[in-house]
Amino acid sequence: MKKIRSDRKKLDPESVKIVVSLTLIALVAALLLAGVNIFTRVDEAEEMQNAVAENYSSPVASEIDISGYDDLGGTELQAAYIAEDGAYIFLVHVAKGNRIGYSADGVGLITVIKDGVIVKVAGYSHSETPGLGANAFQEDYLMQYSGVNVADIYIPEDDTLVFPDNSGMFTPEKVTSATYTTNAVFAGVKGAVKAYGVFAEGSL
Amino acid sequence: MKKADLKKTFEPLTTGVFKNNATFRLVLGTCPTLAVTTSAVNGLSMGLATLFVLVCSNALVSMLRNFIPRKVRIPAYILVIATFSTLVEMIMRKFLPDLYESLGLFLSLVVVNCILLARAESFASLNPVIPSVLDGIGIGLGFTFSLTLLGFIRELMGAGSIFGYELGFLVEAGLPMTVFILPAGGFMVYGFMMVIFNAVVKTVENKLAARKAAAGGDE
Repeated sequence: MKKIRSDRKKLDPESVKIVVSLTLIALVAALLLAGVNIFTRVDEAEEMQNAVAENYSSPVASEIDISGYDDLGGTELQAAYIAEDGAYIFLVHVAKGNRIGYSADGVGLITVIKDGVIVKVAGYSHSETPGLGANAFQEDYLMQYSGVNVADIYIPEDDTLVFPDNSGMFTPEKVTSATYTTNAVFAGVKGAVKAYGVFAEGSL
Repeated sequence: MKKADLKKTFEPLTTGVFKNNATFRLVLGTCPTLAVTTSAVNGLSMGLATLFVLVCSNALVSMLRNFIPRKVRIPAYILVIATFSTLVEMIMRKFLPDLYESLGLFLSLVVVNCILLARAESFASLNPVIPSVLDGIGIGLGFTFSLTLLGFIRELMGAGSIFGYELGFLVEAGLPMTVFILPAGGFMVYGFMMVIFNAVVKTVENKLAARKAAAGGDE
């Protein structure tokens, strides 16, 4: 009986080797990745401001506090700014959803709205198929949003995005064979229009 | 080093590109192959990212082959592969953000690319460092070549461009067919290229064997 008890107390050398080897590999991996992370860290706030600077000529005057903002379903307001010329700039990320977007990463859009009119729409992040869905981020396609009044864009009251929205209001032209990406872009614009309603007009 | 030994050492380098081509001969890594080859640049960059991870993971697995207990070799290999794949992702996000966006989720999924685990398990864990590195380079170059070729053909036929440069005359003539950048087109091009690649490799192999036999007969 005593002998059995003493056997139980012994550590199995193979188990110890397994623990030691896996722990050492994980430790070295963690140190290596932490070291590389120091040199490759991306400042997302700075990245967004750079995207804004690339897409709108008027410099940013101030950043809007978006904490507590209730997003339009399927979209996420990542940042909002007021430009020196009084335009509102919204960066909206649209997650892949039902009939919305094609790639799993979703899409990111910058929408500039001034005096209730959309001035510019541009993509700042997407991994849609080149030559297909990516065409929905080309300047000549996004031009169709410029000059559209925010009052002409339908925002569902229950915040649930459905495509087609059958509202009879502004509907963008579709990119051939890329309907879902077209919808994702439109969803991003709708997200910005809702945010404009909250932050600029205080109407929603 | 004798000539025969030298030839044996460098053998994995050439076999990885042709005889053991991961895409067309071993049919490994089919998911990223079909998903990212919508353009030549995407194919090339995914191939190079995989090449880097493959060489580094093969080297490390080979170095640690006597240290890693046999029972837990798979989680250990996955840990090594995941480390290098995350490293590539971090570097690409910082220095090549457009490419990072373009490759999207598939860059993270390099970690589960079966080519990496297959080479770690079947080659690197059984061989010294130098042959393992050469095997990684060979297989990686073969994978890069295949992905770039598929991307080149699909982009040319589907979007009328080469490495992002639009060929105006093709587009004006209405020749590009969108189906080639869709999944169905990916399968078609992959199938055709597999047939052509295998036919070429087999013909070359037969010719080499015939030449060798003739040389043997002369002796």
